[in-house]
Amino acid sequence: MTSGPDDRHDDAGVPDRTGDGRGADDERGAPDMEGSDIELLRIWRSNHLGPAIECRIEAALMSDPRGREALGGTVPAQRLERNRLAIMGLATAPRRGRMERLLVRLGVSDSAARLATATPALRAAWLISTVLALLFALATASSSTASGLERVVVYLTIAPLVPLAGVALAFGSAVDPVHETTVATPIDRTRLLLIRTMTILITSIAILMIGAVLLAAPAVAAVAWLLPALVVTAGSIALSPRLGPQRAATVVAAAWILIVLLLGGLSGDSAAAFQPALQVVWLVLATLAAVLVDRQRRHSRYFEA
Amino acid sequence: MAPVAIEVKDVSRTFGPHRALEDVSLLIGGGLTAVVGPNGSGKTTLLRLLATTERADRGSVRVSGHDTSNPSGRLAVRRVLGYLTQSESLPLRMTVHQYVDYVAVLKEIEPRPTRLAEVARCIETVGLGDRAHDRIRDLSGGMRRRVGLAQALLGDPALLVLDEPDAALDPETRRLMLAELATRSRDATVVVATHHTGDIGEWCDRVIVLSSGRPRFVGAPGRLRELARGRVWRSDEPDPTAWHCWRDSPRTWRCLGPAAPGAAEVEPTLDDGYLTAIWSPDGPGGPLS
Repeated sequence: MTSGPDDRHDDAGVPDRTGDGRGADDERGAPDMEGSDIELLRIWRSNHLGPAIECRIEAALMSDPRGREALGGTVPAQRLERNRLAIMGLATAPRRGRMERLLVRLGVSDSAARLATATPALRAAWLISTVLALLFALATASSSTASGLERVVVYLTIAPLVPLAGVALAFGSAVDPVHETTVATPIDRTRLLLIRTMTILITSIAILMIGAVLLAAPAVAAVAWLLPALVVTAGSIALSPRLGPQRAATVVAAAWILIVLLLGGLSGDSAAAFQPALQVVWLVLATLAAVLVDRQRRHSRYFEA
Repeated sequence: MAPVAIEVKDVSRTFGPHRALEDVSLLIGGGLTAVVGPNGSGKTTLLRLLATTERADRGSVRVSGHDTSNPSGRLAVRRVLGYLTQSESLPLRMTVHQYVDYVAVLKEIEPRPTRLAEVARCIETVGLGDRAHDRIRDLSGGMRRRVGLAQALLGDPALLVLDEPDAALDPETRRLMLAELATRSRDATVVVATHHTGDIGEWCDRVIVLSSGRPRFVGAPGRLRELARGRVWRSDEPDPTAWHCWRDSPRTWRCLGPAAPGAAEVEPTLDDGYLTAIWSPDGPGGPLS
């Protein structure tokens, strides 16, 4: 990887930036320089500045031919050029988007914020899962044939699958135009999948909460799908290294529906899967799946779709 | 970055009934290597194997000793890799800068000032500095190809694998791009799939001619040209004894094959050498070199 603008001391080998043996007070390198530039050079040579200020001073000095000449004798040209590019890169880079700025302010790392907001596939996956969530919420709420309990059960069964669909869509060649390019990079794919998953989960959950309100569901029912959503999503991620994201999501979704039907059939209560006792089970399963994902990540960062 | 050595050993890859590569063995060192061949000859599959986005059914691919059949080997290769896919479908809503920056994040170039400097440098290198903040959908096909090239150049990779980077480029831009790749190939291993055989002699150190999933020639461009010596002649009409004849002027035909005594032999070109490698019945199933 390339070096940053703050590596000037490493490159020079010693922190003394004069390099060629000239002392800090020696101004011979700049016989025709303006007073302000000489002052800049003197400050730059004082060796007590942080890398950021040093780079800015170097850039300012390099904007003038005499400044470049003065610096050229003391700093390797390659490093100066790299620092100039670093500053130009910062100066010409577009401003971060609102969401990216917000995430960075909340403490999310720069790269994670970029991946969460700029991933091309994420837009399609987010859009699809959002539309699905909205349509589903509206359809369930407006259904005239089902009873109140049936509508809530259907809602609770399907709701966890909405973020799951979004996650599956967010990491596949079908919706990611740069899938092959992504695969050829060294990025930790588990981290990438988790970042995409979190983005999808947060947006889907918010929308599904609105759906629950539309449904006029009891307060408990409005959140009873949250743990199952975590279970199916984490389970899908855990299975993804073996099955691939789409197949893993399909298997987990089928298993989830089967479990709800089985529990309902066996107990005679169609909402059995969402009772408090089962919520504990979902919590345990979600934790186990999260531990499994974490173990996979520790043992191998080479998750490949 | 120092060049990497690539060793492809007995590699086969099939897609359903289609055998894309069959028992391919190659050694590729530093410098600029061109992979040429007809459509469906296995070029893209070979490049995908080198770029670790494809796996061989049989055989092994090693890059600097790293076996790409295992995860740690693939990761090691990806750390030094710049890859341009054959039909890189770009996110059209993103700007050039956004997209290249996104790939820079995927390539784990950090911290941010360094990443942005690298992004700016690569966009400048491909001549898109003044279009950096344009949306990709507003660019021409050739410019989009250059966007793909910019992301491949990120991080100054020791291994550049480029699948038809010259597709949709005008001749001037193509020459500029080849000059850039030739310069980089002094310190890196650059493997380029192309259909422009005419460019090979001027820029490439090595040529691999693939046909039906097998290498038919591996060697220097000069040797490829020599392959056709004594096998190219001109005639006023198509010669039935030739492997193939095509018009090279309104009145004459250029023929390739075992030249009959008295045939008007001509100086072979690289295209002739390439066609000889493809059509020659010599050494069926194996390289001619």
